Amino acid sequence: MDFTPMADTALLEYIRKDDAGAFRELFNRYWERLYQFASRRLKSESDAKDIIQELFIKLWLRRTELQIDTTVEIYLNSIVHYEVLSYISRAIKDKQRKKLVAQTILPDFTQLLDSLQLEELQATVEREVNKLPEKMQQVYRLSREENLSVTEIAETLHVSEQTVRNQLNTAINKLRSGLKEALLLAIFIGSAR
Amino acid sequence: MNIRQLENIIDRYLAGIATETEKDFIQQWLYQKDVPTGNLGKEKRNTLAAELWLQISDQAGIYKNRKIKSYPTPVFSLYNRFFRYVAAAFIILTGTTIIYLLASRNRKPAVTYSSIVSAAGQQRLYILPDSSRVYLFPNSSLQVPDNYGKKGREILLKGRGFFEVRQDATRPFYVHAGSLHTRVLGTSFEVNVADSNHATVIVRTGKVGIQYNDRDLAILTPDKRLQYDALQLNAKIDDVDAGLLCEWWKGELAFQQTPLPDAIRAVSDWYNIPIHIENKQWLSETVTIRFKDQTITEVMNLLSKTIGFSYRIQQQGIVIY
Repeated sequence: MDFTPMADTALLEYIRKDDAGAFRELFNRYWERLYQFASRRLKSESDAKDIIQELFIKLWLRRTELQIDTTVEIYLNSIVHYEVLSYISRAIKDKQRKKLVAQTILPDFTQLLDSLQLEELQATVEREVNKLPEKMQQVYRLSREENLSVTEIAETLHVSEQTVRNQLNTAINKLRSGLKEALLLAIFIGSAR
Repeated sequence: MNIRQLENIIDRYLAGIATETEKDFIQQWLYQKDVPTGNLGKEKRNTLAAELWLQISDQAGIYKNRKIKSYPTPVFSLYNRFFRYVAAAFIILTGTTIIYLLASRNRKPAVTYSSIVSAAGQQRLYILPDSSRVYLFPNSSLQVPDNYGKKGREILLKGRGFFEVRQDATRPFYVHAGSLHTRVLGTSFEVNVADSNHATVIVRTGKVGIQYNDRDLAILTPDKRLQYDALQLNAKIDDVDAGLLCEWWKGELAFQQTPLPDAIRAVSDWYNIPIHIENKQWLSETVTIRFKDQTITEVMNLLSKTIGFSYRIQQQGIVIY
């Protein structure tokens, strides 16, 4: 039977009835993207192979009990997500593989965390700056965001240099105390490093 | 972040007890946009797919009488039950309602392969465990999984081979050659894969199903030949004398309306001499001819008279012009 034009759900019906051809077609449709996902996340083609094999083996062995309420694609994605994560968890618990995970997979997480934290930090600073009185905000932004000198700011705003200096000092002090509180909340995984 | 913290977050995530921020973090990692690295490449994809499928169908016992007896029925120990719960919790958390039951984690050792290689200038007979026979044309190779015949019969071929497959309706016999997959129950046939783009299958007895790149291409009956050109996406089926064409393993090299490049490659492998077709006009020629116990010079003379080409013998081999 030619399964190629068949919809995923129809394939599943055949698979439930032990049809190997339908299963092969399902495999053909999905193995590559699942494999690509796993090998990119795990940085290992052989680990990815293991995962894909196991995933499809389980799928076949459990074919009669499968309950898929979403699309097959979403279903397979959530399985591969689960498998990849539990693979990492098991690898970390394995003394010999732990080091490799630290070298290959961990950096991705760290990098992601860094960029998330930087974003978070910038957002927090922005929120705090917005809380400053208008004049003070203006001085602060000209200084930090436009990189103007005190003299330049004084000229731009037609105020004395001393006023600029005072405003800046107060702004920084206010931000410092505001951020201290905000930062404690922002760092979401305890001591991140 | 250190490895310990990563382990913690992942475990909490899998157990469904991660905080919102932790969940968010893991999901950002899962769903991050990948740098498009493109496809795997045809060659690699096909080998990988064949390899994966072989393992999967073998370990899951897909072709074994539909009933899985050899596979241990999962024992739902506390460990397993825990993981089932974890899996269910995980899936509910990610917003889908899926019940994903885990099979027991007993991993079987990976399948290993034996390689059978025929050198240029030498053909080879290999008898598979089920007493199916494989005749390897010179300069070809075969990979046979060590558990061949236990759950299914699948082998990988490079080059050209003639197969006499022992009848077994419950275990189809598969020959995977690059993108070309040939499935039979019990028959004799030849598979010849020149490169990733050209393939020929000739059926001597029985019925042979052919897939190319996971598409069904044809079902061949005796004395039919399929020539497939993946570049032109062109499949040609014609009538041949399969008995004649497939008996090179008895020492007779025969061609019937065979594209000249194919014939030349066969002669080159047979006599272990590089032959290069310099003048492109000859590439589209076909040839019908038989050789037995002739020297390479005699063969080249006959060929050049039949087709009308000239050739010279050089240090590095023969050049047709």
